[in-house]
Amino acid sequence: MPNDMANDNALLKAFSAAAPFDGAPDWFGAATAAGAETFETLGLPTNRTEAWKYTSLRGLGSLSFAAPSADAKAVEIPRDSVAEIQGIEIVLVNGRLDESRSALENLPVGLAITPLPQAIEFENGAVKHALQDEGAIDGLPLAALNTAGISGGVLIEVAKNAVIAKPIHIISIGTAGDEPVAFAPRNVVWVGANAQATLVESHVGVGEGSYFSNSVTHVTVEDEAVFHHYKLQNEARSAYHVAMTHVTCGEKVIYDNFALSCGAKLARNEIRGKLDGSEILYAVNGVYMAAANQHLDNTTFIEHAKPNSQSREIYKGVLDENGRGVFQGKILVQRPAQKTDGYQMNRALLLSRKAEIDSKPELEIYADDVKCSHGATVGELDDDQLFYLKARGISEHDARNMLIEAYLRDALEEIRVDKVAEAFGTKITAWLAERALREDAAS
Amino acid sequence: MALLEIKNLHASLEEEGKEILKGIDLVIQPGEVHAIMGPNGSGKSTLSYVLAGRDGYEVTEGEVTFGDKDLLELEANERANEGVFLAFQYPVEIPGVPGMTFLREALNSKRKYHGEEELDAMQFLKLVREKAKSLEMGDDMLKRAVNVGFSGGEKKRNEILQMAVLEPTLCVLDETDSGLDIDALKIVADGVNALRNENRGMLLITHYQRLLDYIQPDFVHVMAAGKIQRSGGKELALELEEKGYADFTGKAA
Repeated sequence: MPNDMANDNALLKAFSAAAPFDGAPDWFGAATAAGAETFETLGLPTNRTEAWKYTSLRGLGSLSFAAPSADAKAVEIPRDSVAEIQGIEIVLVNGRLDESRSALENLPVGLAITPLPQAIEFENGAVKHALQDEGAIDGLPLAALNTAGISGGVLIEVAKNAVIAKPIHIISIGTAGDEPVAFAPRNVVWVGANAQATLVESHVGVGEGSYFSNSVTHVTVEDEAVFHHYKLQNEARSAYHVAMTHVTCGEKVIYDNFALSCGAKLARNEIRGKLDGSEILYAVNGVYMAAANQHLDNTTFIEHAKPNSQSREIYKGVLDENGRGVFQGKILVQRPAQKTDGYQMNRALLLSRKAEIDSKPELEIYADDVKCSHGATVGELDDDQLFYLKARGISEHDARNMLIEAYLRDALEEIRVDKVAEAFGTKITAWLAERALREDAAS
Repeated sequence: MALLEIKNLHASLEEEGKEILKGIDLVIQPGEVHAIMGPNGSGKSTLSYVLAGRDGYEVTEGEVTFGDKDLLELEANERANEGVFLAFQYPVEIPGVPGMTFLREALNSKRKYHGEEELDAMQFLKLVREKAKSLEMGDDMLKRAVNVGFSGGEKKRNEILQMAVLEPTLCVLDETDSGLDIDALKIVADGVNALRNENRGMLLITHYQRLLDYIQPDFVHVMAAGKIQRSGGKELALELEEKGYADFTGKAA
């Protein structure tokens, strides 16, 4: 397919053109080249690629991307879209770190934030490992494409035993003029043994222009550390958002991840976790809310490598108009991982006859003493509940909104940090208010 | 003017097309309490749903006027806002919706409907406390999600509290006594009695006579096979208690 190949090359070029890593060490150049080579071999995934069966990136191939312009940096932070969190802020604009608006100094004891180019220059071990790890790009075309042309990012290090009370907040802003832009943020997070920290990511857009954010994040959580990791995907409606998060957990780690997805034209939130220790509590949860012409994909992979760990996964979605949701969840239990306890559930609520959900739960188990279950439900609003509300004078429209809100807010219970749950709750309310306006306009 | 006037009401289940109500006639004047008694399957609950405007029933004949309004022309929420209140046989659990939010939304929907100003959270709280106090109830259950994890008695008390707050002019109580022990039944009956007044009409739907030991009706109607078979005073209830519904259904109920 020469046409596809030409598109792949154009994408590769768009990303490589953006790379700002002059004078980086040789190993970095080699990693970039390996990324480019892997992407060229795999190509941009289509529905024919099993892992991308329900999410095609064909639409991307037809866009021609310009390199992000330098003055994009001046954009204001769209506070209405960003999660309302009093945090230690790191601002990326079109994938590049805006140092002037990022908290790089005077940080709490035990926390270090370093611009990625510097961390590469200093040969930081975690960064070097992340960028050279073949496992991070093998069979993963978009992660490979990211590696081929990293735009920027940060290294976040939480020292052993440090307890960082204030959330760290990465605000990734995409913005484009008439020509679409593509960028590839790469962030590396290292949480030392017995440390505690919270990371919130807000992915947002400014303006009407189309952009493609293709990010990769590495998270390493050392023994007995607690790491809360929350993500708000609230990109511009014309944007493409593809994000890969690689998580590795040591002994007795608590890792809880929650992703709220409501923005972008097409978004894929992929989390691959390796539970490389015993007695880990690993949770990946989320909420997705799709309206007209939106496609929201959550793909997760959980590998239990050692015995006695627990994984929990609950996603809840609401699909309105012709919105489309995709959930793919795989749990792999390796032979040594006896007494694994895994639970996975995707619930989707369809609000329109044109909405669609594709769920693909998968278990692959090699140990013989494990407890794993998975499930998926699809439903509509409950008629008895609707009638009860209407019989008390509440209009059909308000009653439906109340029930949707209750259904979604219930999922927020999974977030272990209350102020983040609250901040994400306001995004749910805002989404419903927008939905109400659409309905009013239509009636 | 009558509060509620039902004339020759016929209604069927929309899906099956099966006729359940086969010509109901009933007039309720302001201040009156009517009891409809009947065996299971007589159409009692269907009548309450048709009055409240539940989807799934088709009125094939007859009319229902509420004050000067054609009730059947109104949506369920409009009927509620006009002053019709259905106390459910099985109040529905709504996880994630706090009772307080739900009831404030309900009251404000009614106020908005009548062009009145909506109450803010503080004003509403004050009102609810007063109403709960007048019924000798706490307002604790409103802090929980609507009906979630409530005992049978709590659910029914919650219905009565909602009724007190929304101040309907017509209360339809569908099998309010089902699933209640005597203590809970008394509490609920006290609540209903406290809400009786000269402007408000009540329609009690019940299978058993025992509710009527606590709430004295002005009129009793026996319903069977989709029709009101006989009407009378409260002594009719006692007669039914003795003889059962056999005279009306042809078999012992």
